[in-house]
Amino acid sequence: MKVLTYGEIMDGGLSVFHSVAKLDDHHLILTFEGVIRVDNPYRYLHTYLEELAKVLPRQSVTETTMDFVKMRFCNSNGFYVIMDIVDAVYNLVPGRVTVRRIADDDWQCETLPILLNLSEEHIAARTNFEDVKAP
Amino acid sequence: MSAGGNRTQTAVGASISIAPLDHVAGDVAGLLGNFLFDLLGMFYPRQICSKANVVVIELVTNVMEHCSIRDGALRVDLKIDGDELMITVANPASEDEFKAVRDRFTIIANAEDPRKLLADTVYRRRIDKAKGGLGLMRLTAESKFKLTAEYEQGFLVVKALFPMRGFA
Repeated sequence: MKVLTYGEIMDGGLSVFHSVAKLDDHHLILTFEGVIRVDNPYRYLHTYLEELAKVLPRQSVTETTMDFVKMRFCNSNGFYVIMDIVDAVYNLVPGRVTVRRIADDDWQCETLPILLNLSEEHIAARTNFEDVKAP
Repeated sequence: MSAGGNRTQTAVGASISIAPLDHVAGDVAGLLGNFLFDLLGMFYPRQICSKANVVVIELVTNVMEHCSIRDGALRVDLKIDGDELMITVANPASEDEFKAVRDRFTIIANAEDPRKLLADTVYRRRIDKAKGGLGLMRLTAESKFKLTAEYEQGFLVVKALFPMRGFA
């Protein structure tokens, strides 16, 4: 497993959110952990987005997993930055995308599909969900 | 702990007031949301606790970001029992500010498909990263709350109601 890049949000001196992009052979794994609740998440994650844009096209990826199971909350201030991270994956690497999420979580079942832009047919066709119980 | 009874019929109430708003220096929305999430977790399923968490965080964040009368008080009230979850957030507001909020509530309340309204708004505003109202829309589209806004004695009073049918 090779870590490609990661991004982190600090709030009050503590790490409250981090996302890590890892490569396991040809399997790209993006994890999302913590909460996004800060006013301007781009302040912390713009470098991560720039890094994703640089490193993802250089990888040989056949499938991707985006794991939101440990992302407990995303307020509306965080919607666009999640969309930008997700877009980087869909636009820069090929193959199936599996989205891991909590089965009975309102934000992950109702709003996350909007942020993934599943209304676009080519995105919906590449995407499947793996619903898991809350950890 | 009593072994009998249905814990999802437990009546829980909490009222919190902070004044003046100007003295708040940290993530008060997160603190209150997480406290109520943990408190309700003693009695109610995670999904209900999450609803309370989201509504408190979004409404209190709105107050902290938009309330212009900073020497006034923020009030948060929560009531839950087997029938409904009701969260009320109040802050001082001018009549003009109330009218602007009420107009936004009217659009959300009249939407035939709240989820489509949220999706269309997110996609439209993504270009300039505009916020304004996304938090309220998600509370109806995502968490299935019924929202109302009233003006009472100089306070904007926002109520979020979730019927507990199927959970209690």
